[in-house]
Amino acid sequence: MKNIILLVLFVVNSALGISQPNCNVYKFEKNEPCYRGCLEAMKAIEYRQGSKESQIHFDKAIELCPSLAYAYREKAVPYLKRGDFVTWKKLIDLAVKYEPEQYLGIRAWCRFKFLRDYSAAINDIEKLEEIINYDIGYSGDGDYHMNIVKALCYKGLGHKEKAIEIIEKQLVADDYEAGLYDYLHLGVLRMETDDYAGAIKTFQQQITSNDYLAETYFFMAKSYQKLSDETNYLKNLELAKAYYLKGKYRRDSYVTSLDKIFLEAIEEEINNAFSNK
Amino acid sequence: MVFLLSACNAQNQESENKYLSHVGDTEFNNQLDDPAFELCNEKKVVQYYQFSRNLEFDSEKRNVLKYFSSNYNANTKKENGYITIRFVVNCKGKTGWFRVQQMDMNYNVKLFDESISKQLIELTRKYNFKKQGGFISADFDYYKYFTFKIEKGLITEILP
Repeated sequence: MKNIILLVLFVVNSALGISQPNCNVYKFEKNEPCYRGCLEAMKAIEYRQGSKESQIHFDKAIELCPSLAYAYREKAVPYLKRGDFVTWKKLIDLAVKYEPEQYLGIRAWCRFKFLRDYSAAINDIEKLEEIINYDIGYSGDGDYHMNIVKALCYKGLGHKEKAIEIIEKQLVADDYEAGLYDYLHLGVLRMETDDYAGAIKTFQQQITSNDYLAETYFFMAKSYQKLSDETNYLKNLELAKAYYLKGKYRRDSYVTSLDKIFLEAIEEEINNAFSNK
Repeated sequence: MVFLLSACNAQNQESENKYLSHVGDTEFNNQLDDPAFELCNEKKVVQYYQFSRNLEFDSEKRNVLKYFSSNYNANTKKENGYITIRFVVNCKGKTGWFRVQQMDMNYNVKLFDESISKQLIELTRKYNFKKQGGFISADFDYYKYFTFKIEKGLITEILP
């Protein structure tokens, strides 16, 4: 009966998409210290992230329940965002130690995003794949399936063909819908491996999937340039600029994203194109 | 009973004093910091990511990359790891309060050879934020950082 109740609580928790723990799970397990620790962690998140008050409550939570992975992870976040990677790593490692299925993916994502630590991110993703028998899920911000992250890590290590293979496989996976930037990254990879016709097709798929990025048109322009199609090269450069000026480009508050293009680069390309005519 | 409560409160106060107001806060250090660098608003220094347009600031990232690419002398020891230099950008575009974290590829603290660390610190100090088109907020001072991924003495990534 207890297991059924726990299962119901877990299912409800998951269905609601809540990333916070359900403290009642500890209550049902008659784990009073962790129940109280969990409640302290819930108090912590009522305060501004990184504030003294939040950190105090997270530390109280950890003191009560040293295996409370959620507390370590949440305590770690401001350290990551503010560039104290030594402290972040100590804390996230504890979260991974106590709940590897929950936090290996997150550690991988953060390593990739904030530090471009490609090898270590791949290791984390592969460790996660070994210990679970369900889909490895998405990045912390929801933008990428973790297999796409893995692919981008391989790209970072110079293994572009491998990266292409992983993305292609993910795009045809059962019940998978392409992420916001999947085709953009795949198109850039194809362009970078001299498959310009393939790149153009992929960028067109990106437009069908998510037509919100100046980057798509910029890289499509570059691909047309390589195919000596000047008309489409120039046309897509102008589209890239138009999209950019309308605010349609790759954005992230924390880091400069992979394959992001700046307006200056687009304008330089346009100037060069016209000065070479 | 009153004595015990006082002792308990004193202990709590002491342990709470070890916390900064916010994670990552820097305080003026007269051994390290230029006294001429002034905050525009001492009560509140925010984080770079709290401005929605910060990292989209066109010239900033490109100029950072160009600056370090042009000025970093890679004739150094062939070490690996990360160097993070955190600083404050004030409302006038001046930078100050530089703090450094150096770590190896396993995220353990390490000290790089000065041919790398001192060089990057000096280059960061000299980087003219305002002239190079860096993001400046008229209303707030803010914390920013550069993280350099170093592989065999070369800078292979500059984040964020």
